[in-house]
Amino acid sequence: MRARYLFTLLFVLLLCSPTLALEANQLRDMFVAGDYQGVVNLCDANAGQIEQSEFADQVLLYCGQAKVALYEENGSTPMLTSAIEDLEMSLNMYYLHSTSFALGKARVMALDKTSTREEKRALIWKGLGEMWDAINKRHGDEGFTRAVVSDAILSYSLQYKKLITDLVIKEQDDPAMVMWLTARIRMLTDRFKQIDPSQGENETRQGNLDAVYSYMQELYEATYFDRNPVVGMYKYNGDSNEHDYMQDEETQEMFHKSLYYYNEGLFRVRIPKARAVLHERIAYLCSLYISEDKDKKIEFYKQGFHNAADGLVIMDRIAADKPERADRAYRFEPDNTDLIAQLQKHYGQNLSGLIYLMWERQDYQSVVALRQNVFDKGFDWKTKANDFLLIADSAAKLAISNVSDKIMYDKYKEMCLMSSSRAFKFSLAKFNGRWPTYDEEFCEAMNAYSGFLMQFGETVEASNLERTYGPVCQEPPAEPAALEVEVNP
Amino acid sequence: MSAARLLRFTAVLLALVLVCSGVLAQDETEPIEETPAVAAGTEAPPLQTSQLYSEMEWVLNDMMRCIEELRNAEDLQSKRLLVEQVEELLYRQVEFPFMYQQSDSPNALDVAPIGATTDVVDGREANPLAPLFAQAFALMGIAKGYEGYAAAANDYIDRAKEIYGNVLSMRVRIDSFQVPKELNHWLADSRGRWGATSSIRVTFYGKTISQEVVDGLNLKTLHIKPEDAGNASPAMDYNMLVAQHDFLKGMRRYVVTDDLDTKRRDNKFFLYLPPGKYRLMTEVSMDYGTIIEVHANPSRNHYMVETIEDGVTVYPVPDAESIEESVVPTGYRPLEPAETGSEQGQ
Repeated sequence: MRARYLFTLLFVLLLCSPTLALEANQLRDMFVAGDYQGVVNLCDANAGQIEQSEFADQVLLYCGQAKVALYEENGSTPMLTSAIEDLEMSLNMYYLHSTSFALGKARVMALDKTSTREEKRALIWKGLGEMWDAINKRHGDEGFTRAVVSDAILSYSLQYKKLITDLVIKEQDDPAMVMWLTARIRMLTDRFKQIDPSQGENETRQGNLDAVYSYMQELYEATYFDRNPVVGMYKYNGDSNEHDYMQDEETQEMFHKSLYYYNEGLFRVRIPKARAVLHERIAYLCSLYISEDKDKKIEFYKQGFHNAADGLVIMDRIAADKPERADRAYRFEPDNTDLIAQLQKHYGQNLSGLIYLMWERQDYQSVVALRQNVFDKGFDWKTKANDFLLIADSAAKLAISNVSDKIMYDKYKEMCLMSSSRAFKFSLAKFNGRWPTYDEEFCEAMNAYSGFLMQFGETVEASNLERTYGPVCQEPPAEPAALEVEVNP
Repeated sequence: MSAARLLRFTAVLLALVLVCSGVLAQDETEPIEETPAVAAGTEAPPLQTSQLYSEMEWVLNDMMRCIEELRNAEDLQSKRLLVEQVEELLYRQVEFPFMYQQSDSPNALDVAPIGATTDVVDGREANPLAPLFAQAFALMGIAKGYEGYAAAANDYIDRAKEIYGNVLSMRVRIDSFQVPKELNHWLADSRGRWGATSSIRVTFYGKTISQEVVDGLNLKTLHIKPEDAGNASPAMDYNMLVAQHDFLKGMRRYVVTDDLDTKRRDNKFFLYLPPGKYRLMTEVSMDYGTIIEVHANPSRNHYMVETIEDGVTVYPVPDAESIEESVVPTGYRPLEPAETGSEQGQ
């Protein structure tokens, strides 16, 4: 009797064993662990039975998502087609935001496999619609809040944003599609206009909300850039990659991507002010470049310097333009004064970097060749005095090496003294007509100028200089001693 | 086996089944979403009016955004896509969930808000949501206005007024959401851009429509062309493209087919065409097609639409002029309780 009960028990347990439920769990674990091929193998092995499962929708969701991931790895079209079928079936069984979102994304991925404009339009329409539905319904589940949205919505929105900005670039030959995509971008960014990061539940959430709020605001503004969303998206993608460039070797790819997007934007831009903005962006990006490879550094500093110079030329033209043409060129354009200030700053940064690197590799001819770019500019930058001194030093070295050629010697001597004199006057000008006090940069310039005068035999002038300003630079003033205050216990 | 043994065996078996079901319940795969959708076939709790209000506000925001872009669009192709977007928003977010209450898919989320909205239908202006629904139709009218379809714009405005009389005095932010202005203002603005539009409403009524045929219709298999080839012009091409879209849209969204899920639709739709003769062709009738004659008086432009084999045919309604000229869709009629229940579970 006992044996029969035991047999029955085992039989019923076998019948009731939740194999299918476990299968969905198993797929989820494998998917989370990144074993996409394993998930797909399991899905293929159970192809005929999945639909019978109580959790078929979830099984199909993992099957579909794993196939999409594999497609991203190896680009197999049948894999993507199969993924779309799985996700469609899953969605028909049970609506989940994640399924709708994944399906929409997979459809948009299939875009490269379509040929006609109509097919592309239909696919984008459907795919983005499904993704938007997911965001909208998720937002509905959260009561359509305005000030705060969940991290799930933030995540969906960022993925959607990435996809749609790339689509604008991909579909730039279809102006109607670009217009429609722009409308959809603005529909997305509209949802984030009333976000109030300070109302986030904790610091992490506040940070997340703040970041996404800023991204969306930047994206919204970028759609108006140059009155051409395509150029705007190039700029936006350039900005996004620039944010991700951490000035290290690991994120160099971001630097190059950013530069690529800015240059592509520059190739298409039409409005002069927008062109100046792109020049400014490139100049800024190049000034950030850090690498062990000095040739590359020189290459990018040069690029940055030339872009800043081109930007400044455009801004000069805009300033000289008739007032009626100085109206706003496009929405959210930066203020002229701010833009010029930024261009000047990046001009100086790139030029200083370039001069220093050339000087460091003892390419003095190249250093002195850059002197007009320092001398002739009617604006200043932080390291301008140092640039004058490096030019002066290079010229001095060239003079010495040309000591047998009087013409060349005199030329470099004059160049050196002029440059060091400019460095000195530049440092002195910082005191705005007041008698100078001890200042490291001023004293360095004064000593260098005096030294070059001595070197080239201009002893009288050197002595005058030393006599006049030497005492100022004798010793840095002592730090005033902190007052001791007696505190009554 | 004795009766006592049999009883004991059955009891053990039942106990095991109960234990097993418990195991299964505990072992169920965890939901992927924090708040999963209601399973197909179950009745969703009605949404709160305030939530519907918020939802409608977002829908209207999206519509306004599209109209804002439409105002700035310069080429016809862009306009078309944006108008289609507004149409889709109106249909998917307003008409489908709140009026037709059909369940084309087992997606319960689409069905969920319906239970709470029968009072919208009954209450008309008294319902706090009515102005928002009316606004959606008015915005659609303005969109059609900017597209250059005066008659269509008027029809949508009339539908909006039916829902909420004062709709045109409501303020909306279309100008990049900067300055709220009355819908009247935007209507006038869109009218200013109509130009010499001459499209007249043509009404189609569904009769014996096969869902399968409807599913097979698309821009490749259905064409509308002017009968007189001499009429060809870019403007006429655009009219044909819009008519083609409207016809497909009408067949897919508004006509009752042999599919039960479509039974609450209006069973009629509209095209807007300049007076003249046009040929409607489907894949199976490419050679001959059927003729649609558009008269300057819209009361003469009533057609029946039927599916035959794999194609579509249209013919004039015999007593067309006796049909009362009203564009208000039948979808607004108060719903019978039995009707509501019958579709909830689908």
